[in-house]
Amino acid sequence: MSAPLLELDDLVVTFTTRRGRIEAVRGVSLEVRPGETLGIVGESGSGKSVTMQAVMGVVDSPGAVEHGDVLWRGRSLLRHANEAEAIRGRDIAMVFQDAMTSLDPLFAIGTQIGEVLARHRGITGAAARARTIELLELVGIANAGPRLHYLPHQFSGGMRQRIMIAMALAAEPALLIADEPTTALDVTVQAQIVDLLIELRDRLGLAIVLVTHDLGLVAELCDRVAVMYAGRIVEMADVWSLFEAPAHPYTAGLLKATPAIDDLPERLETIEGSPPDPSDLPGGCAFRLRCPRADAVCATEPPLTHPAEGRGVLCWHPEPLPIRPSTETAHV
Amino acid sequence: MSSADILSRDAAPLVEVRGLSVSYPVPRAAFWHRKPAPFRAVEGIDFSIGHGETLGIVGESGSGKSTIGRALLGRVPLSAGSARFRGEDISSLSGGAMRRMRRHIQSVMQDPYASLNPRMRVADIIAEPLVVHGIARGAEARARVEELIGLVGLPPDAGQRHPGTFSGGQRQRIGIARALAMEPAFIVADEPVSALDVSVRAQIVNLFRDLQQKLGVSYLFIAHDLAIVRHVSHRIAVVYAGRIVETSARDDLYATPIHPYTQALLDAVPVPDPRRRRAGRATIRGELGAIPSDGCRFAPRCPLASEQCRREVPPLIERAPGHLAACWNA
Repeated sequence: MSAPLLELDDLVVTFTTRRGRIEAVRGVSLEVRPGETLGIVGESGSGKSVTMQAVMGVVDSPGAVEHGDVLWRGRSLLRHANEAEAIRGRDIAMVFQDAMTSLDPLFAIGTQIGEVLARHRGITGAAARARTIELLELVGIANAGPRLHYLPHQFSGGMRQRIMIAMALAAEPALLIADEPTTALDVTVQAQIVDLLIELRDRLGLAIVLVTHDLGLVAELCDRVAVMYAGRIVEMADVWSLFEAPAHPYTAGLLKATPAIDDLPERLETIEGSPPDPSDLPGGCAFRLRCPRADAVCATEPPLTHPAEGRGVLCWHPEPLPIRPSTETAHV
Repeated sequence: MSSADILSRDAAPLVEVRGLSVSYPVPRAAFWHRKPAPFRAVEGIDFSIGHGETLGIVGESGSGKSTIGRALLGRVPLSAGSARFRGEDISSLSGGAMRRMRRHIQSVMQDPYASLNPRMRVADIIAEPLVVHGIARGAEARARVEELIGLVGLPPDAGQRHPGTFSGGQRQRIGIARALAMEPAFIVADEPVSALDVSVRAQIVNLFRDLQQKLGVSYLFIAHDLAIVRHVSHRIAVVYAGRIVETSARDDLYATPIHPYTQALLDAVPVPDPRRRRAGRATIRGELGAIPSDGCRFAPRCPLASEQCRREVPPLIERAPGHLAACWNA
């Protein structure tokens, strides 16, 4: 097994506000290995985006990493600030839901991609122009040469998303973090971007962390999945096992509440209540007030157990796994 | 009213839309430019909705699906065609008659955060339409509000609180209670669950269905999520660039889609099951962009497009009982 690219070790991110101290990320540990696609699934307030902001060093003020560590190829990014600055954007690149957050509306797209090439790869002049055209063609923008001087708003939403991906790839990263990269797009365009991510992963051997609320995208793209709830990973598994036999009651509920387009139960199954407010979490298991399996013991901190190799679940009463020989093992 | 009138009214659909078109004026680029042609947001829309029935309208952003809802609510003027509610043309009504009709047509909007006044107590938000229309006040209004709070599944103390203290799903319940206060026969719901968390979405979808069974209300349910639309609708219309390209009973649309756009939409939806992964899900290219002035508006992205498609608008015609599609080549 290859050494992990990225490791999070008991990461805690807090926000200090007038209402007090809010723990958005409450002790997250995970690994991303070369070439794999890890999905981080969660609803609003789960801490999925903040976790990745901590990796990139872009946690919004007044948030701060209070505890734990982020390691890139075994070196701490938090303790080596200068190194971290060089690694972020070069070895780890990020794309966001809204392309306009990473594209500057005032500069031509060619200029913006050229800047990344100059800063991280030392490529300038005619070589940079040629490489920019190559990158845009890689993400499916044909005949890019005459369009290098266009401003971002002269492209459609799907095209801007492609340009942002090209810009992220310009530095030749080993890991691409994609935070809800298709949420703002129409469904036919979303499918095009998903196809593009799969193609890039296979061609370039990229590792991808996909942050999303959409279980359909996870099923489509990911090798492994971390399910987050109220700042913690409540379940970790390879994608096949997770969808076939979810162990955490939250994962099970989420899967049942997500209708496939071709199954048609009379009523959708639901999870009672709503995701909790991070500033007002119940003690013990944060899911217990919505959980059909909860009892008195759930008011105390749930244990992390490993029901199978490569699987982890944070629960007092996980669903028992079906007993059968495993046929599909991804990277576990 | 004679019994014949009642009979004919019951037999007629609740909502009947014929040739509905809405255009928005396009500003001149500069004062010396010629005034551009108006933007035709929707054009030639036909459909009807029966009592207790849900018509789902599916389309991508910019398809004009929200404009159809706004036209039925009387919020945008029609540039052609008609929209009838219980046989009366909505667009021809003036002040008082319009207000009386508006009682029976209510709306639920996408953003439960933006549509509720944060300074008002929930009980007052729900009671407001009752008071404005002079239907109930005082103790009577309070009793009605209590009933509505129970009906939509809010906690009994919800009335005394402010919207800011509720989650997204609860706020959408408040919006629904407010819409129901007038005992409407028809509700236009524009993306009512797309801003909600996955675990909460299913609760609100079930609520829409339960309320229809209890109250017999009809819905125009506008959404981009084909799985959600399938759950709430009896019939579905697929809209592309301001025109209906396909309409049928719910299950026919998913089982035997005819129009290449409908097929592409269905293919594009990710399936929450890794065993059913498909390589290359995107079956059409490009995006809804500049609309061609002639012929089929989907032609620039269509894998089946021919010369005829670029010249002539395909008519929406019946291909199977109750299943209409507008395509020359499908």
